[in-house]
Amino acid sequence: MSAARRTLSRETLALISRVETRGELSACLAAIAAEVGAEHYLLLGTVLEHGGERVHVIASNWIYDTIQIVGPEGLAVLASDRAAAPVGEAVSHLSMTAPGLGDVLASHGHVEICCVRLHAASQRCQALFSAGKEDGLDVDLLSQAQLACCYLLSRVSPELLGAPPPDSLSERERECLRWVSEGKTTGEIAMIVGVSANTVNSYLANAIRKYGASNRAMAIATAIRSGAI
Amino acid sequence: MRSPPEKRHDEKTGAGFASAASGLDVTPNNVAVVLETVRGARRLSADASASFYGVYVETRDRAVPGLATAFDREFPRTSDLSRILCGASGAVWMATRTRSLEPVWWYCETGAHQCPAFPLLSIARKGPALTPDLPGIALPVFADGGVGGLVVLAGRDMAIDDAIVCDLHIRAFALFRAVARLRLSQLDGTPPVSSRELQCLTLTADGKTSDEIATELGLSVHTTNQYLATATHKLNAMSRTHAVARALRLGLID
Repeated sequence: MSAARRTLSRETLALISRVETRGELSACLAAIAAEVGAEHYLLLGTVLEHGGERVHVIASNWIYDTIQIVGPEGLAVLASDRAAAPVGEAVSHLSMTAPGLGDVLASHGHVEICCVRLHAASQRCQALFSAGKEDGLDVDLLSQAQLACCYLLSRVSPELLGAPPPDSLSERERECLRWVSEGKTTGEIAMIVGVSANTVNSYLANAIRKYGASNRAMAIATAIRSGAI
Repeated sequence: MRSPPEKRHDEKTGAGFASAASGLDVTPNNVAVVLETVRGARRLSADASASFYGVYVETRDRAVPGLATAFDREFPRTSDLSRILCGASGAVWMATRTRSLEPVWWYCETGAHQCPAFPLLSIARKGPALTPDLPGIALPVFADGGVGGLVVLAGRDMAIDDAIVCDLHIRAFALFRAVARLRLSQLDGTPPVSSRELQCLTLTADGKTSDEIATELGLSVHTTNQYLATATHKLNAMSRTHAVARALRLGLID
């Protein structure tokens, strides 16, 4: 039998279910951050746009100047940290891979930073919790905060996350993509779906265009990553 | 009150495992990990006072997307409840599923058995009954590479609240990752894809052509194509695109 584990307070968890507006989202994140001893939170989302990735801030209580100084490149570095723990794994401190960025952040009051990976609707998301002094963060409680953020992202509307419409593919386009991902050729798909090969190609071309992908492989990868197929 | 029969404590490794109907094949190499995973699930279930538990993986390689059993309370056999979950219930789940992580709870279909703890949960929502005769709760989980699944806990006297659900959910994630890894290692006889091959696959998934990959990795175009061809072969794929899809689904690249 496991010993009683520490969890977030009931009040904070209850807040999650009531979040509807941007203000409530910020208030809830602030409550979660406070429980893990973080002064600051930063919620980052990565969306695919015309073949490239764009990192954007979903919510944060960082000082505006800090985000300006870090800049899009810095945010991309923070969001690309593949070491960020998925849910269920021990959370560790952010190891700054880009030299200089860590110093900049430290001088702006982000001495100790933890970055966690979130599972969200249609984009890759990370939450960064930071404290102004060493050992300020309650690392044991961070996986609870991580799950709470996942719940939060599951609750709020896509518009609030600034994400593109979650899945604008038509049923036929999705079906064709799925068969491509199973290794079927255009001719085979035409046979399975019961349309001409030209039609299959046009469905696939539409899917590639909608995803802003450069070819089939990339469209498939995007579709799998976003959970469309 | 029905007390759940605690009969599955005979964890002997033997011939019985070989013919197991469960989705996890037990081999001498992985038996320790499998049993530890099953034990983890049993602890999870005990902490929620559930009488049934099961771990399911979402599958899309059938005509109708549904759930496949990794293992359940009857391990190494498969219980009747799992058959329902992998049949009609699973199809309903997949049809209504989103990428949401919210736990989903249900009462049994007849309404005869309710679990008073469920409506008090603020972080979960009510959904269709996955186990028709038992109230229960499903915790959606993901492993690397977007493999999705469910950890289902069911019982008439489950004692849970928001904080306990959070704790159970985090442990369910860790459990599912172990299951996903076990399934990965069961790919019979597939030689491991080399890191160079994975690099080429990752770049292909990013929409790069052979020329671009060659430039980026400092290889010749011929070598790049060779890497992609061997990766496609190792993954038992029909085409490059198929190889990318398989690598993503297996969690080899993300």
